[in-house]
Amino acid sequence: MALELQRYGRNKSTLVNKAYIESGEYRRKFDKITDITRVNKALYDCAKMALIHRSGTVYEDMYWIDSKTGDIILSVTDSIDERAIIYTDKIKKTISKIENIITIHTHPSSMPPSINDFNSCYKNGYRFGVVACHNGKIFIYSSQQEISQALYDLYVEAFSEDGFDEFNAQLKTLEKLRENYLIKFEEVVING
Amino acid sequence: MAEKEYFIDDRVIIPDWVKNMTSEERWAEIRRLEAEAREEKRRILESMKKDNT
Repeated sequence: MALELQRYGRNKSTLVNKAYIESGEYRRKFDKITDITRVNKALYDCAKMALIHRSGTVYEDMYWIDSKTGDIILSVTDSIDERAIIYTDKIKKTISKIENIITIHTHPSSMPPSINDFNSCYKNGYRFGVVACHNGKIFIYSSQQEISQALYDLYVEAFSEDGFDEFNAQLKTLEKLRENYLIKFEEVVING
Repeated sequence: MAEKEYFIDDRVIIPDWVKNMTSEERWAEIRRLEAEAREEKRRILESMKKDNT
């Protein structure tokens, strides 16, 4: 059943607004991510490819990009694990030899960067990561400290009990974590 | 069985031990873990300073 959903993109809650991701406004978001035009273009191209590919599914695509040249170092576009990318030995071996990596991956339910995103960014020494949400939101994030899974779960549950929906419970959790951990994150927005 | 290293979770699955806590217990544990995080952050920043001098 899961493969059928992936094949036909029938999960309505994860459908991508293709007109929006083709728009100038979406494109301009990427102009703000780095100071290097070809890196921003690579991120944009990868975001579009991944979102169109995974629209209507709960599967994620991911790209590892050289932060100086914009070259795609590695990609995973065949994941069959729901809402997850598994680090194979090939991935681990490839990225262990390279510095200055930026990652970009999709979030089918359009949630903010997760604790696993931050901790993987920290453990693998990435410059930063980009999350391309199926609803058109974009987040960038980085970490210089491992976050406690227990603390993350406790915050999310506490904010959920206070009445926040899942997206806002996760977002408020990140804001609290930022007070005591060496992490950064922001949603990329276009003003005006 | 080899342990999987998950990179990404779009949605959060809250473990039972968290769900079974009272609100007071939860916030007490949060305070404890926040203090640990602050201490670790302080250590990391000090280490960075030493590396830069």
